[in-house]
Amino acid sequence: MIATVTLNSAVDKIFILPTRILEKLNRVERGISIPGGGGINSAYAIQFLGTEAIVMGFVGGMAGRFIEDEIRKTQISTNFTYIKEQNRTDHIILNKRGKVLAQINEKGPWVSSKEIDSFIESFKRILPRCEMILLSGSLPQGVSPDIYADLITLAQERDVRVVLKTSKEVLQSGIKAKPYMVLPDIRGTDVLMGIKINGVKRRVELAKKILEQGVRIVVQNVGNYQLFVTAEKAWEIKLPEVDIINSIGIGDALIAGVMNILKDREDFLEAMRYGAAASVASVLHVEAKVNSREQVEGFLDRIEIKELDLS
Amino acid sequence: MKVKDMMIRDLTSVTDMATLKEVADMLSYSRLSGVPVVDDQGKVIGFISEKDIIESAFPKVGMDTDMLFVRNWAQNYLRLSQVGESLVKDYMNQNPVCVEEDDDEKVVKFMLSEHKKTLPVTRDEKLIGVVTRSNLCRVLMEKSDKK
Repeated sequence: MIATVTLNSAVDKIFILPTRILEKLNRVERGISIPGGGGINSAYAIQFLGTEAIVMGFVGGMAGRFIEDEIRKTQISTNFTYIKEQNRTDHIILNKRGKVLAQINEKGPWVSSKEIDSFIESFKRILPRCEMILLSGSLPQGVSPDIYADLITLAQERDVRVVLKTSKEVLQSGIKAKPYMVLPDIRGTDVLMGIKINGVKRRVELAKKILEQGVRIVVQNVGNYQLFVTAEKAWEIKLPEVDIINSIGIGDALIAGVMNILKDREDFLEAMRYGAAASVASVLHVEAKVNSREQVEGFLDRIEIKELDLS
Repeated sequence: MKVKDMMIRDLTSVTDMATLKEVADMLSYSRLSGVPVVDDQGKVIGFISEKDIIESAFPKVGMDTDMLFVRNWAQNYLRLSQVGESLVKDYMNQNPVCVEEDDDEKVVKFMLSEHKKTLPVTRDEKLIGVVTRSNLCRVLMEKSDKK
């Protein structure tokens, strides 16, 4: 079983506009509302790839009910902590070719210390059942940036490996607790850990800096290619070209595909292949979620992996 | 039809050291009539329901009793605020009936005959979900729609 933690889960409202004129009245061609947040997106992929997934985090208000009810329609297990304030709603505006024209994310609810304690108790109870844990996304208000580091430490006490996907100071705090794998979320930032992020060389340099702190694997998603870096080796993974409908969940699918293999065995090449194939499958749907194992496996032979020369 | 086809894969639960107020808040939001009580490994060790909470405030007053017991609301509120800090371990059902994923529809008969609104579903004694009457209704209606 893999538990995914999404502390700042959201209702994602996705609109597809026929034009890109945002200053005027726009008639939405198609609009949907779905549960969102990194860990929830990953949980869908994990479950469809054949591993039991359980989602954790905070839910409150009508938005929280929507998130919980929608997930309950799947085979994914839920173990949410109920809070007084309402979950956030994120607005994602796409054009017909899947390009994100605008993304407006709310901050998220205020979570009290009592609600945080209640979540941590649930987290401790789920650990003995899990092979791996994913901590993903931003934090709601009232939650310390050090919470991921605390959760990683709790998991390590139970010998449960943790994957961390988040950004900025929360990422840097979490890395210090030495998670097993990290996917740095670099949306909206050019510089991370003192490194200007552009091109493969700089990205590998960033990965190496993260690995130096005791992390085993760093993965990065960069549009049409991905990087998989360990202390010993690095690989570039090229994705096949497809017609993109919505690419906002590509990193979440990557993580899910990789975890689905690594939970059983440290077969890095197979993990990269599954991660990349899940990424491609996720962009084919407006919901940006993997919804078929067969579709993922259909892309496995089209993934190109090249080992990078680190000398 | 098996339990796995009619269950909700939800692990909402409390420990026996939670307070009745915490349970009441949880039931209010989750729309459940009761929740399993688990130990620190997720093993089911009890069940606490809305009925248990009401009876904690009004001992020996069953749900079928007439409403005379609620005539003095000031006293009732005082009593409720006092029991709110009481612990689940003192009021939970310590011998809950649990079912397993592969159990068959006899579970439905049991729920109806024993007036159970919620039954915990376990695997290796650990909570993996619940069967509720309301979800059962939804599943049955969906099945009938497909026919």
